[in-house]
Amino acid sequence: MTPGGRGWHDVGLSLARERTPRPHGRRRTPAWRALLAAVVALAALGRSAEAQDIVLGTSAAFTGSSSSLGLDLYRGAQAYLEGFNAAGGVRGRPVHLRVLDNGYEPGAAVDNTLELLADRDVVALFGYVGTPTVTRVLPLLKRHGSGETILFFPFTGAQPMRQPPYGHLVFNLRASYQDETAGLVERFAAVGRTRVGIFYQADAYGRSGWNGVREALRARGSGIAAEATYRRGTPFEASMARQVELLRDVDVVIAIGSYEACGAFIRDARDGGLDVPIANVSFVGSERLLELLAGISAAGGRDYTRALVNSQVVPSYEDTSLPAVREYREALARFDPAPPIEVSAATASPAPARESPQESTRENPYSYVSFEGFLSAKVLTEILLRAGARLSRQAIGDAAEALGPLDIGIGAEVGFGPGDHVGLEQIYFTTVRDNRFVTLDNWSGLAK
Amino acid sequence: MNSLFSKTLAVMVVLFGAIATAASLLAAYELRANLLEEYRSKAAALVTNIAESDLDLVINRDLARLQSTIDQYLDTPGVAYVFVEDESGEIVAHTFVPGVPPEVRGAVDSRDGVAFQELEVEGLGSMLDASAPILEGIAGFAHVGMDLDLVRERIWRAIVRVQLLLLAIFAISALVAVVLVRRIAGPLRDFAGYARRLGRIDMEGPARAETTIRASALMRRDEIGVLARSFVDLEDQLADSIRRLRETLAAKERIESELKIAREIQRSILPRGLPAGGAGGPLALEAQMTPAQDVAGDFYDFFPGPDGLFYFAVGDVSGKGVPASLFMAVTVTLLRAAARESQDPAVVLSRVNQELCRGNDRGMFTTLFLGVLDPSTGRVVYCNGGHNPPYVLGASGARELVEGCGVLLGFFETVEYQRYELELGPGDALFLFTDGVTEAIDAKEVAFGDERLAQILASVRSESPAVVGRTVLAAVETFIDGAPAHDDITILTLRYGSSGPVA
Repeated sequence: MTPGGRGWHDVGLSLARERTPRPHGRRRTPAWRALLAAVVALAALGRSAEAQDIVLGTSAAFTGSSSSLGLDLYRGAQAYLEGFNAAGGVRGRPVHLRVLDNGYEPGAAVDNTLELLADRDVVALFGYVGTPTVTRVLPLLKRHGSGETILFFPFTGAQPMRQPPYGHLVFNLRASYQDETAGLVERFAAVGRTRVGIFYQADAYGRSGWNGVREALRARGSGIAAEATYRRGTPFEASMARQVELLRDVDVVIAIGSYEACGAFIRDARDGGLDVPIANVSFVGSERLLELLAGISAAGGRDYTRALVNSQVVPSYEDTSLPAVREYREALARFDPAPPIEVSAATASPAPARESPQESTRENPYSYVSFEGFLSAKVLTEILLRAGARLSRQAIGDAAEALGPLDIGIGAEVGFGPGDHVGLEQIYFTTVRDNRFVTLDNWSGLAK
Repeated sequence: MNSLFSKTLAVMVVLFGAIATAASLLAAYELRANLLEEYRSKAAALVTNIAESDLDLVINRDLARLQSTIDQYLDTPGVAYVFVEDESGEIVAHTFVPGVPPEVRGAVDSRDGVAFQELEVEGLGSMLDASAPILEGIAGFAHVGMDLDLVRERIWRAIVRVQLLLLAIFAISALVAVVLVRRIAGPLRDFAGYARRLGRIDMEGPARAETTIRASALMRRDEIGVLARSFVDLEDQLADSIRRLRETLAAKERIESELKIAREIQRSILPRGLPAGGAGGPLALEAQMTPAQDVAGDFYDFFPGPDGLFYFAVGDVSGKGVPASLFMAVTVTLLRAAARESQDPAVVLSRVNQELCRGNDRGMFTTLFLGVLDPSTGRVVYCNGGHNPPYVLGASGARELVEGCGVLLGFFETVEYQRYELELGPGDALFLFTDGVTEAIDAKEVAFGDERLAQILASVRSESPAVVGRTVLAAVETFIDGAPAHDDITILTLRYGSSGPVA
């Protein structure tokens, strides 16, 4: 187990059945667990499936090596929703998330989605995580008996969700990987680092980022200098020595990966004498990455957190000048949502996780991912409020498209239109200082 | 185990080994060919599918979805990698970890359709790369890599299984063969041992067949049973033959001993020397009879009669051996009996002839020369019943006494015999003999002959009867020179008068 406290996230890992990483996307069917979760969730909450509840369907990674992403996203969203519901919800109707776990496996995601789409009470899909998983479920949005269903704000910056033929069924809050990678390539080129290597996950997510880097470099008249891949689900303990060797001869490495794999790569790169800056995209789950690296830094006597640049799609949760940031921090403190029922059903009670020593020593209850989840929920509820009394899937889609410029308190406006399903376009660059992510203003320190 | 069975077994092993090798080689070849064919068609189908179905993804550069799609193909058994290259040859989507192997970058592709290439990829092993053009190569190429090591492993496993099966069959067959061979070899060994013992049978009795062989004979219906029965029959017949041989041998010994006795009896029938108080001074006589076989058909006889007369005779029964000897004994007995009745030799011969003709179922006959000498006068009255004439030895030489030859005895009952007379001077001798003398033949089948006899007699006419007899016999013996005796030899020499030497 990694040192340095994983707390809330450990709950998900240790309580749920540990899924071994399966590199080739085999289908898994936790359908029975999802069913149990749905029944228990509804029963435990004391509210039966009455017409007054608004249900959103969620399929995300709550177990496995990317479980932190699903859990964090859910935590942020749930924090907002609990406040929203306490304030009356949508004209007296509370909004709930019906949660199913797919372990970051595309096959399981498909099964989850079929189930959610079959549920009449589910008015929209929300809180999905991951490129390979979302890419695989896109076709399902189109073809379902009662017309099309909208997927809101998936936690992925890949292209399939943003362009035809499925782009019109998805609304994205965050900027794309293309934006993130283009920004990184540009900024590094400005400081003389033009030989770009790419370390990426061997699936649609990695390919997305890879393509973004390639396009950005092509625009500058060059190409990718070197590349190395890893299998989805590779844990932090695995060796990335071979990948490090393949990326020896570059000025900078852009990593499109998960926190565990990127953490392993960074560790083996620094141990192997590869000292160039390593950049990650927002999907990596910055805080978890930092926890892993900080843990081994302390033990290994080397600072693994140096020369890291992470791009983000939402502003820093440290910037308390932003109203949304203050809201977010308050909501977390007030509600401190528990992990989804499905996960905690495996334990005796939800409480022990919070009282575990790891939780109490965890310094940072915030994360970019949960902030994004918070913001996603905020925008979605605004849409629901505007969707009218009859919340059909169609009505929600229309309301979303009609969402005019909305100020959600982050200093940028969110708006959608018939051809524009992307809410935000800003990219924020961060780096690590004193074991925290801070905004990266001065790039000169990263010059070649 | 004798070498015949070892050789057979060795041949079986070699043959089976050859069959097994050929079978497994053929199986391996067929299996490999078929599996590879299946692999190829599978690879071709997959890569064509990617190239055609995901065409729009490639053209639209929707790389994330393209990647998502090709990732799914990795689930197919045997697929080791998938990659897609665009029209510039750059690989835009692939499933390799940690990187694209250099061996793969050079993989062959063709605008005309599916192309295959076997590659050795470090880290992955032997691969079958199948490529298909996307939009006839204008949009790029799709590649699918099939794991050949998997096929090889399956082939080897199949081969091993076939081999093990063949080996098991062989082991079982060998075992069965050994068992069956033992079932044959065992009895055969027994038979061999038994036959050897049979060969060494002494006359005490044959070795009784082993119980096992007898049991085989009784129980088994196969070739071993037939063989066993033959052995048992052989043994029984052998025992039988030996028994009969023994009996024959015993009978033969009995006969031989009886023949010896008969010979003794015969010898004792014939007189040896002049009877004590015989004719006296003027007579010297020497007689000898040598049978050709154990017993003879020849005879001589001499005995005194009434009034001082001296009877002497020589005869030759037809044939040889026991029948002749019996007839000879009868003849001699009849002669002596008839001689007591009459002094006339003709009468005596008639009498003897009549008796001989009676009860003569076998048709035997005999010659007989009977002479009656009056020692006071030297007058000899004789009758010749078919016998070869004797020689008269006088001062002038040896003369054949041809007068008075008559008929054999035993033929006709009513034969009239005539008597003849002869005067012997002092010192004259009569030499009586049977045709065993003159008809003695040497190795060249030349007969002794009358001339030779006459010459010899002439040369010894003055000698004593013993000398005469000895000389003639010696001459005959010298003449025949080791050739087997053909006929009985009888000699009787009678000298009248004491002018010559007695002994």
